[in-house]
Amino acid sequence: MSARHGVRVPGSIPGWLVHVAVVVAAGVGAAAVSGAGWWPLVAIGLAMAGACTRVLGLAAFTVAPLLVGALLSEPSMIRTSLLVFSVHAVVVLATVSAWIPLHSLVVPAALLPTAARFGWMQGAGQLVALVAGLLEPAARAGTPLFAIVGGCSIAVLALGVGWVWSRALADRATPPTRSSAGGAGASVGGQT
Amino acid sequence: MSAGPRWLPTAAAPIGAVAAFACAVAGLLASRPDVVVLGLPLALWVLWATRRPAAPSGSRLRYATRVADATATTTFTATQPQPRSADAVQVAIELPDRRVRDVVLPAAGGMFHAHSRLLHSGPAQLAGVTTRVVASDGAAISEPDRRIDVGWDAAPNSRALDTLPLPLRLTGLHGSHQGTRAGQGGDFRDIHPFAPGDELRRVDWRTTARLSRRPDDLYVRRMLTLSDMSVVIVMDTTANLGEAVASWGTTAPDVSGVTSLDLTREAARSIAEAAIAAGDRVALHELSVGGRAMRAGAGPRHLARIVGVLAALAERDAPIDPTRLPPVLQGALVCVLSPFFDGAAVRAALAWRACGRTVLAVDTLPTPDQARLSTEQRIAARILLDEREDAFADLTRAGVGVVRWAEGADATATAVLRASRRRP
Repeated sequence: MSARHGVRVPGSIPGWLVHVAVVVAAGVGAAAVSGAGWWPLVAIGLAMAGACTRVLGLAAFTVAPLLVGALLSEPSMIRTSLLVFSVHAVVVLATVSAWIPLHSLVVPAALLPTAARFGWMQGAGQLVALVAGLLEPAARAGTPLFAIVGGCSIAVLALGVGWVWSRALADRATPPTRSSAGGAGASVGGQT
Repeated sequence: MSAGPRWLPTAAAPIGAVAAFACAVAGLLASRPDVVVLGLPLALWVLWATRRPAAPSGSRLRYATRVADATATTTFTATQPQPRSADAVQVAIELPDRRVRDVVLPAAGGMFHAHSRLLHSGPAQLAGVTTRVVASDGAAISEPDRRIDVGWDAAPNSRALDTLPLPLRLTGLHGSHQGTRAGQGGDFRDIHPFAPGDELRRVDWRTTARLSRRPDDLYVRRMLTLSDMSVVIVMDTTANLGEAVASWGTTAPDVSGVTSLDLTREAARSIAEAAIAAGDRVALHELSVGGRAMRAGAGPRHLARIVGVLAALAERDAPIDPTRLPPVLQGALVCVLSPFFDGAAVRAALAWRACGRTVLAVDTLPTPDQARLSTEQRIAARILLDEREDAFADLTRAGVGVVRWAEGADATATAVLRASRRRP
């Protein structure tokens, strides 16, 4: 301990790793649309600027050049899969990095709920992307099968939205509880 | 009654909704279902982020401090009590050097340590901790909880003192110091005709046979009594001057070096330990407005209380009114601990000496280091130090013993005090 004052967190990682992860996620998307002119570089630049400044809007705006890059590129299953991952990861990581300072210390377990949610949402997105990729030629040929599957997908999405909405209503009906021992700023123990 | 913390929404959900909407619109306009799909995870995430989590229940913070090798380490444990509505607990720790470190812990519970090297004795601020909880990946962040300040009262060191100066009058009939009155336990005092109250076993039969003129004349051997001593430690806490003269008038504990309050606490503890080890009684007074005072007492528990008071001894603003000096026991040894920069301590010492008390002035100013001073500052410092020498001359003329505590760095404090072991 050379510094006079300091903080030590067992098993922690530096907070700047989360910010680097935003750039990495944008880099994955940029690699997927690498043939779309300067837009991939714009996406990486925006991600880096957002990581350095911790401005949520700046990092999330990385989605825009990725979207343009996707429009300028030919559709393919791998590209769509990478972009689904990249766009989702950029938005989530930008949100997380907005409240985690660069010099902070993060216990990885604190990000597990975020990772779990990212996992199942990403799974749903990749599944739909896979279906869309498979049906892309049929859709171009004007086969109504695409419309049928698309309608089913929307129905599934509506069911999911309804489930989440019902959970939200249930939470709203639950009265807020605060245990007495866990009140704001509860201070127990210590010695002065 | 406060309403407790509540969630503060962030811009994350609206930004995610705009991104999802942009993907959907762009994909539909371009007839690109693969682009529409890009917005699906975002739409799901926005739905999740906009759901209303249960009211934040704050965080429970426990901490314990331990000190080893002059380093105070405080271990914090932060948890969010059930039912948990948050993903993580964010802790902002303000260190004594004003730096703020952020720590992100899981809501289920996490631990971190804050350490500070203690440069001075007395009260020290170790950390100021503020927590808040985060839900929905940061789309909802609670209001910060009340700040918790963690402090530590560092006990001073002590030097071993073998002896203390004795006052002119010793009180009490029990103790370890030999007084001048007749009593028990001390050396031979004199031969005295028997008087009512004398014990028969004190009769000196040889002297009686030699000196008695009548059959009922008896002579007894009288012994000196053993008495205890009362020590009153008076501390001047209105000035805290470091050994670096350039730091005087500033609050820079990192560059001040050893300060006068450090030496005051150390001297007070050393004197108290020596006195209580000899069976004497010790009282404590602060020579400042609102200062603490302890009645005279003896024994290890009283010493522990004294050490606790000394550890919490902090600088105060105003010196005490000279007309309202603390009461001092008759026949007590009064130790005035001060850097003797303002006249309050000098006036108090002279006043007690004029009342017949035995007074010892302990100079607690560290050896001044006049490096990095301008010429004007050097002249001002010399004037101040010369005024101090004048004050010491006044005290010596009045019969007050003067001891420089900082000289203990070269000669042991025992030798310093032994040099003044006389009855002024």
